[in-house]
Amino acid sequence: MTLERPPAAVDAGTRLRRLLAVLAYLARVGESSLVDLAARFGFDERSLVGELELAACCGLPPYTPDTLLELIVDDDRVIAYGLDALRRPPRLTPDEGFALAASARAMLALEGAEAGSPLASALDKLGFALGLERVSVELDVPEHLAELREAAATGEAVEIDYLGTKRGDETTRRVEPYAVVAREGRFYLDAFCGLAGDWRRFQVARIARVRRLGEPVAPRSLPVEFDGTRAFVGGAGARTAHIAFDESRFVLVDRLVAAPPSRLPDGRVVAAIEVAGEYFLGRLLLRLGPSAEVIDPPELRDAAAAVARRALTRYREGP
Amino acid sequence: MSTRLSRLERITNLVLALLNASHPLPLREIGIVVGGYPTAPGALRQAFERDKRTLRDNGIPISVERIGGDDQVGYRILPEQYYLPDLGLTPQEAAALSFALVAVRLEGGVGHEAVHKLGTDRPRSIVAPVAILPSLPALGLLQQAIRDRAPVTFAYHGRQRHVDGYGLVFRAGSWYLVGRDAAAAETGALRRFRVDRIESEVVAGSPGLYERPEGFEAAEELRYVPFQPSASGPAEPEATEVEISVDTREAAEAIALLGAGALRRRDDDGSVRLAFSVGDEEAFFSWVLGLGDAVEVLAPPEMRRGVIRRLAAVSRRTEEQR
Repeated sequence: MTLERPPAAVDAGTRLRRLLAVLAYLARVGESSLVDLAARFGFDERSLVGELELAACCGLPPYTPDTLLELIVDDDRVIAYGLDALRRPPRLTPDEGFALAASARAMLALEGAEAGSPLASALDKLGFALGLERVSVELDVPEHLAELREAAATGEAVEIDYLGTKRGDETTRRVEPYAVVAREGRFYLDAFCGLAGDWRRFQVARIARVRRLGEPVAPRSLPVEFDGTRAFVGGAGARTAHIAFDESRFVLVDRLVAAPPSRLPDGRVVAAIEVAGEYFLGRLLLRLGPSAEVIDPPELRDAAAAVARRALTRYREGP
Repeated sequence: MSTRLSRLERITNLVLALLNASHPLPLREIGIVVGGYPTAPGALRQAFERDKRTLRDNGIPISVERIGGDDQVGYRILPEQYYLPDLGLTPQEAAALSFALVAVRLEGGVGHEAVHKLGTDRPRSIVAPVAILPSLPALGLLQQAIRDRAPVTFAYHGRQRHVDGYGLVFRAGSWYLVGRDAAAAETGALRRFRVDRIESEVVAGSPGLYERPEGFEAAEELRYVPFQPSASGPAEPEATEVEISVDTREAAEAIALLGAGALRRRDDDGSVRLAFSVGDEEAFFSWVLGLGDAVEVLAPPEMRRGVIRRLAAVSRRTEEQR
């Protein structure tokens, strides 16, 4: 995951926060190897040494040697003296307090709020001080989540029955699970799929059955587009469609739209949307109401009608 | 001192000097004792204000105090406002929180450094994430305002809102603020705001200005379906009882949306029958049509006909265009 890598240009405030966290830790332990310290705080070793050397020039007026922070960096270790004032960490920032509340609440949603568990009792203690009880996180836990997570953790291939999105799309596949992560509120399995011969992202709620195969997976690395926060990773059928629809329906798609929409002379808005396939697009257009249509590409203009015809078949069969 | 010191060095020195100060330091003195500030008074003031804002944004409040003499105000960092209070966590509790922070992350790693402040000796940074939650700049501030009972102001759907926040809820991929909007037509009505649709900066007022109702659960208040008649809203002319059948592909999501109370039957093929009332018929048709062939409206007949008519119109229209 690339989440903890700091952006290329880190602002001074972020650097200060990280430096104070490192110094508080050093004040407690006195001495640490650079490797351990870098790993613990998500630095690469060179920038860690840079920050420590800078900190060694800081201190109290008049900045004579006896009033500077005492940090000695040698080849692979750092030794700290007299950082008493920094021994205790600073308060949580609003972002940190929120992250703590959201993470802890999400874990409770996933694991079930077991009374007396360390997480539950920690939340009780912190609840008032940090306002944790005012944040709640809801994550639906799909049936096969635990099994798939375990297979991904141990690197075991599994066979899944996958429902797909379209009727009649049901498939059975041998997949090599890599990660199971909730993105945009839903759980997805990222796996190398034997059927597709490529990486695929499966919605865990659409996996109807899991069979453990007891076979180890081949070592592979996940393609970069599977990293990050977004659930949508495209795939073979993915492309961009420009669709026109009534502005009042914009809230239904605003999360799918990256650029600001433009406007047609008839008052409708036009938005560019990345779509995984024609069926998905057809459903989206139906949802957007009678005035919704594909402007471009022309070969997708029939998407809504195709889904409408499929749906009508159901009604002909009768209830 | 040279003004060529890096800004990080300057603000680190500033923190140390203000934290160590036995009395509030006037700006003039800060400019002299803290390395790296420009000497011209205007430039010094500007640089200090910028540093003060940076520190505040990073959770380090500078206390501004009235002092005698020409300087009028002085600055320092009060230890009780700087240090994280002793949270009284056992090592197991601190480890459980650290684990949660590593397993459930906010987009972009926002706030992740809290893990270092909990004082666990071995944060398990190698744990694979379980969930990545969207993060928005306003969330930290909103949570703090809710905790401190400080009303918040922001623009939403083109109007300025003044909200007493009661809670934040993550549901179906979005963060929601639940609270009372003082500017709403019916004052005192509960409102929900999708945080990613807030159109301006969020500004928090003074703390302690409102009370949160006893036992209030924001998540419970948020239970609503777009097309269901709302209990708190204006009275619906009339609600229609509908029954639908949903395929196994969409069954779980439909139940999550409508609530388990709507479930009437679960069939062997994994499909479910759901019954519920509909207030806003157009919103209901939009939802049903968007489910494509995964859903069928069974009753009442006029709603079933309404779906068929709309589907037929779409399939016909495309044929006419050719």
